Amino acid sequence: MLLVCLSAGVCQSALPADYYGRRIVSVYLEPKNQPLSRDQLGVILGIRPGENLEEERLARAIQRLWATLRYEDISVDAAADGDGVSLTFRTTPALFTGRVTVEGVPEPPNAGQLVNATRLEFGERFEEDQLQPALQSIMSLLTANGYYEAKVEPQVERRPHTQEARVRFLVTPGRRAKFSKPVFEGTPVFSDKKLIDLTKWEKWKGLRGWKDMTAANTQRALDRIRGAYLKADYLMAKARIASFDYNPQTGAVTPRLVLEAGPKVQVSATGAKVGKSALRQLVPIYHERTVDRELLLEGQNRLTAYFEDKGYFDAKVTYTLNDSAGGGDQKIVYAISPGQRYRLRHIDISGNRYFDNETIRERLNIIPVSPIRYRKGRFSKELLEADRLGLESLYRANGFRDVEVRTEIEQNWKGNPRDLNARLTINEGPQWLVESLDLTGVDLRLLDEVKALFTSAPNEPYSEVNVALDRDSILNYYFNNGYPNATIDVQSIVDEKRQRVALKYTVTEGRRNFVRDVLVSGLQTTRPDLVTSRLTVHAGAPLSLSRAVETQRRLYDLGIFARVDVNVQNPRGLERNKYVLLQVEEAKKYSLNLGVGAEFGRIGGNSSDLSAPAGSRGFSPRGLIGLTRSNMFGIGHTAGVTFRASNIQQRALLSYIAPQFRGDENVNLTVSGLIDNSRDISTFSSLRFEGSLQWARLLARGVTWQVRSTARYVFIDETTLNIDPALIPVYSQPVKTTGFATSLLFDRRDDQLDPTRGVFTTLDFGYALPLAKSNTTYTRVIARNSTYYSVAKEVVFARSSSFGWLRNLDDEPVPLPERFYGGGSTTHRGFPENQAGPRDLVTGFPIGGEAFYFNSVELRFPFIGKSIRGVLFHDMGNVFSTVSALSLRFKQKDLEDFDYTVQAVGVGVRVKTPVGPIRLDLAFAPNTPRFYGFIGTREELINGGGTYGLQRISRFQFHFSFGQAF
Amino acid sequence: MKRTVLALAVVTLTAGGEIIDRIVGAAGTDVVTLSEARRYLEYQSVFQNKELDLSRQAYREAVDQLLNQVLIRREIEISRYTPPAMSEAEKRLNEWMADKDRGLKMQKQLAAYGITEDDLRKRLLWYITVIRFTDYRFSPGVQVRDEEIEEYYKSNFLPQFRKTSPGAPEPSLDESRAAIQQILVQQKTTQATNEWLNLARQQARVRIFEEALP
Repeated sequence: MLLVCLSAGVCQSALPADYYGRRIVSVYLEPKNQPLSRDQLGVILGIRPGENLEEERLARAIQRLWATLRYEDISVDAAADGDGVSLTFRTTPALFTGRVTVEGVPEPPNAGQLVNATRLEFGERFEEDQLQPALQSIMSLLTANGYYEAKVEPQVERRPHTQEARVRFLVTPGRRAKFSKPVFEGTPVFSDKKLIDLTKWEKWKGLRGWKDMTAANTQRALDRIRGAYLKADYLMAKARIASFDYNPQTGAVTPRLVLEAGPKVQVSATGAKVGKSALRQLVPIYHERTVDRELLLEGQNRLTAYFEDKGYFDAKVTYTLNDSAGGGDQKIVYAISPGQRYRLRHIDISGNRYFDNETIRERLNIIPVSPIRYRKGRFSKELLEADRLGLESLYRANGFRDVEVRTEIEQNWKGNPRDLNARLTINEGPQWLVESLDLTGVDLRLLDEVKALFTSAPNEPYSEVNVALDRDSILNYYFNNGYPNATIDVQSIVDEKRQRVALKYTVTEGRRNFVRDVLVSGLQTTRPDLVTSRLTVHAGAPLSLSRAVETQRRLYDLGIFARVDVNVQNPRGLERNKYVLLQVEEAKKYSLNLGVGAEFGRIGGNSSDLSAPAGSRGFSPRGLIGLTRSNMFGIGHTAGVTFRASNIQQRALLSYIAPQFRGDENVNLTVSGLIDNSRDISTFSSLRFEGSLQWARLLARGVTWQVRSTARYVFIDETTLNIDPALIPVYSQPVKTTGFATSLLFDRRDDQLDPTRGVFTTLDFGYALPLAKSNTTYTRVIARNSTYYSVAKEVVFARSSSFGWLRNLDDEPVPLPERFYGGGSTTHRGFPENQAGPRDLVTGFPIGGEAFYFNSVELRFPFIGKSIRGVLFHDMGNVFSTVSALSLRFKQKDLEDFDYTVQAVGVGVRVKTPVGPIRLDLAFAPNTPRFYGFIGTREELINGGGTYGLQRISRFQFHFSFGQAF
Repeated sequence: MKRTVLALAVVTLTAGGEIIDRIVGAAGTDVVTLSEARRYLEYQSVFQNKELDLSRQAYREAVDQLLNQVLIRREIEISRYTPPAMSEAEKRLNEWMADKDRGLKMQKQLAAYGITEDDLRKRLLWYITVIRFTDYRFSPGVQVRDEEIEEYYKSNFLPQFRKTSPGAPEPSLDESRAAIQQILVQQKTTQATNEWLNLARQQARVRIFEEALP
């Protein structure tokens, strides 16, 4: 027997049945390091020393151990131990896919596409036999992108202690193939030359050879060919690539395309005008690329609805299909009888008691005639039916289970044959209420939190929508608290007599899962603590998907990762404690930003000719170039340099941003330095050097507190100073300012770019320190408050007030660059940019003030379609010489008085774009200031020449810019 | 000295023990163990009234069948199918027991394998459930066309009839239609079941641990 054992390694002389029925003396596990804890294993195995060994129980123990999916293989050894038996569970731990990378391939394809091609799922079981299909898939993607000579070598790093398999595919791509002249087979109809042109595979029409082969180039070529066939009415054309023949000597690939043009299908409409593009959108045979009866009928219905939408409610559309043209060509003609054009004049709502008419009208898609925007009203049978169903859903969601809404169209309304009246008759029926709501199956510790999620409540309206919401809320709560298998059973007991429903929610919580640990991979230059400090999933906590997503969001917010993937290792395994896998891909460190733009309006003015102190119509092109380096020192900070140049401003800005400073996601620190040479205030040009340090903290949602420290040195170019020559020596002194400022922002708008409701308030307090004799010193307060109200459907009333006060603490006058300037598209549209307030009494140029007050009100309303809105506005206010000079006076006292309130009214248009509205405002200000201005050149002014004349800021102003005024 | 070394070696070598059970097949989170495969073969020898076959090939087929049953069990649970009553299994068992020779042989086999009559009934009920469920699940989708019945009549039914009953008057197509229909429905149901099983096996990543088979 000993010899048998020696040669076989493990003795197999006794039958398994010999051990069954014996007392279990001990239970071992091999290897010692198991993927599960001893306690967990004890529970899972369910076999303990002292019990008798039973065959079926042993099989169940193996089954339960396997069900954790943590093992590749399990076997059980038995050894006699006295009159008992000693058991050893021998296990082979499984591996799970961790980080997968494919390296060495120039784009395209990109890294993400290559990793996806492997189909190795993050966190799922990893098996060796997955590598071969992954390799084939990568090769397939590489050859589709021209890498016919690529070699791929997989490397698997096995980490047994976390059961991770990190897989790297190292690619030697070789050269990328270039296209060569394609071969066209089948019945293409088009000439080879035309087809080659469509593919755009040639560089410069063939003068510079052929382009590189990529999957994108191939797909675009096919799309263009198909588009060309469609345009030529070959609706059913087929185009495919039959093969790519690669020549390794030349490195060129010859595509073979099989093209079948098929028959021509011409679609036309008679009886009414329908544009070709509208026809293509409405008749689905274009999209489906085939002709059948169902599609033609659908086209017929869509055309009918199209005309109904335009007011032709009696429109009738029929189609005929003529395929006798020969050669299989088909002609489809839609005959349209539009009938009379109607207008929906009125909507009659009756029978409603629970909701008032206004509430119901707000929810309707049909709209009666209104000036400008809906001149024929908005109506079709489909819209009316949608409204009917929508109202019934609204009532049902509020407990009116038996509601019925009937619709009727009355023609000849008030005797006018073109006018329609839509009648909506609502039969509400009784309102059903919830009698009671019982909840069972919930752990007592979670009961209060679960109950707080309910939408349904006793004595509140009963609706199936609310019950469904309750179900979703409860299940989401459980899923996000570590209960992946929670279920809920809802029972409704209906009392027809009393119109009451008793609800019973029975929850089966199931097993709770916890986080075993968080495994992070992909960090190269980023410091690990930057990531770990932002984790919201922690070892020991319940496994929550929402927390995992929150972690993902926080890491994306750092702005240094191109990709953040979060998943659970072994999601289908039945063990309770699971690893959470976090894989990041660091973004490219450097980014280059380029921008071009323009400004036009009354800007700048001429520095040598002083004849236009209020500025002149001008156009200033603008360019921008910036370089950003992200993730500085691996701690998520960003450094950037930006150069901006236009006719009136040249700026260089250096910035260093530390977001989520010291791990606090509510705190940002910014250090910046700038050199600015500008003439945006027409009175002078200045060269400014400024450095600042800003600390900002998000105190609560929409509430931010900022603290800034600034040092500023401003040189005024004396030769550009357009003021009384006697004052030039005073105001041409360089300005040194060192100060602190603090701001509080309250932002409760629903949309920052185009708000319709909410409040926005800012308070800013600044103090310029008297650090050196040449430093200017003052305190400054600026406050602003804007409110937005929705007064009707899509109509917004917006209001904004702002106030500023600069208190000079010095004997010297406040330098010009430190004063307040106002007027323009965002403060007072009755003025050109920065032209409000006191003016030099000799030249008439604006010289700023020590206080300002502006108030604007706007009525924003829909104008044309959905994208163009109109605005009526009133702006008032001014910049004042001192705070004590603030006045609401309408009239200017004399030509030296600028301390009065200028009023302006106007209209504007806003065009909606994906990044905010473009706007044009036209303002009329009846009481713009008059003043003496100098007419002549600077030399004439200094040498005592030139003349003086009465000037006035134009009463008509236009402003063209981006974003709302406030 | 020599004796002491030998004693230690014995302890070390025999501490490894003997494999009494292990995994031989897996389908997702379910497994088939060696003991379950052997038990299956024992039951088959009772139901099919034959000698116990414990060859490697037999084990392999057993594991294969058990993995299929795992997939079918899951499908039964999802469908909430009501299994037949125990009385059906009892009826079948009683029929076998009524045959004296067979009954005696069965008793001996049960004693040798350590299987009780209750276990046998339960297992038999499970097999009946599997058969009934596959009919319930897959036969409604089966359609038999007249041409297929005709084709079967000509190429299978008649030649078989002539072989088993030479010289006897051949039944007409209409007379045989019902029987042929039943046969074809059965065949197609089996085919549909196998197609479903193939797909389910791929999705569940079914594996047989060849190296673990005896």
